[in-house]
Amino acid sequence: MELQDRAEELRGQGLGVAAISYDSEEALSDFAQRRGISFPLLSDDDSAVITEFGILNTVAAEAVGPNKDDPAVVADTRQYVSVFGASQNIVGTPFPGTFMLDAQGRVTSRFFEEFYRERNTTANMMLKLGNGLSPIAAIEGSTAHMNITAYPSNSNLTVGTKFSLAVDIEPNEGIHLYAPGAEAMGYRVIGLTIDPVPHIRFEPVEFPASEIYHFEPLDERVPVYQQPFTLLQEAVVSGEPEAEEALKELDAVTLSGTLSYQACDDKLCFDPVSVPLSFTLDVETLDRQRANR
Amino acid sequence: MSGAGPEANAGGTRMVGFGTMRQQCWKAALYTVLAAMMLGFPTHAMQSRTPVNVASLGPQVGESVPDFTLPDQNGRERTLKSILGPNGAILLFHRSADW
Repeated sequence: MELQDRAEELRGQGLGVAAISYDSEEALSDFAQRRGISFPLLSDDDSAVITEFGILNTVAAEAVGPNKDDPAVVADTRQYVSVFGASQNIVGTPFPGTFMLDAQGRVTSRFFEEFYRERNTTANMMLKLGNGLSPIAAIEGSTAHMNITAYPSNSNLTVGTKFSLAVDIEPNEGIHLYAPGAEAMGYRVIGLTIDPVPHIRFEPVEFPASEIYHFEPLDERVPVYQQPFTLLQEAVVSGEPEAEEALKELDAVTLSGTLSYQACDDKLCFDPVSVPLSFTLDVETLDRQRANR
Repeated sequence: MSGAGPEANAGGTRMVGFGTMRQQCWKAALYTVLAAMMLGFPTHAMQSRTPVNVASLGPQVGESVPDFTLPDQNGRERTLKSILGPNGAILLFHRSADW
């Protein structure tokens, strides 16, 4: 379980970790022993806390209730309950999601999915919060203008995994790279493009805040990056049954792409550069025991 | 939705013409209600169904989460306070560890 792998590091960041479900203490004890889970798995066996939080999956009850054939219920059932057909044992579960809390228990961010089979990995959530955990399988390289460290948030993926490809860029002294907005002034904005892969959806690349560079010869004010920054390409493995079938045939997935940019210093601009990048993630098949969910 | 709607409606119509005027009114009203129910006109349960929007459910950014006391896998009682670290916590809600 990914959260267990990361628990120690999260604790090192001063963060507590707990998972809540409607399982009995016995079921949680059994699961913790099988998977070597040491962080608290909390048993909300009457779903009272889940309900008090306001995140009880109400569609689960509808999916096995008198209105189960209502087209709107059928559609929501597929989205929030099961793509394989609802069953009574899903009643009482929450909409799956994660709250990030501050030391007073206030929500600082939250991650709830629109499709129950898609899940943010912990490492991905931390990356998106700008609080990245230690990179796995990083590729390091440099060009004439920068140092590049590229890594996936996770070393493996499965059905519905929401992960990211991160590219840390450290421009050399005196170099600037163009940030979004600079294209309007005719500059080439740094870009990360990943080649299409079946059953994986790519979200728009996330760019961090940039700074304004005053190019005196033309009296232009251009958005640039001069300090180290990170580009994030989020990717989502489809949660559809077809994707699950396709993944069963694979041991790993390689994502290839290109980082392209034009670097300038305070006098001149260098030729545009394209850097090939590739990331390989192992495919982890869903637990057979947990398959039809 | 009930497939028995049209039949119920026909039954209701057939009853008109029996009994006193007052009884007829009563029965007409009763059968109208019954027919409406069987035809699947919006009942309370269906009217109250609003589309699910998971982003709007539960505590939002800036709000405090409810306190709780729950046993962990070792039977030890845990509270929100006992979970929180010096910089906060990650609180995950998941469907089940058992299936």
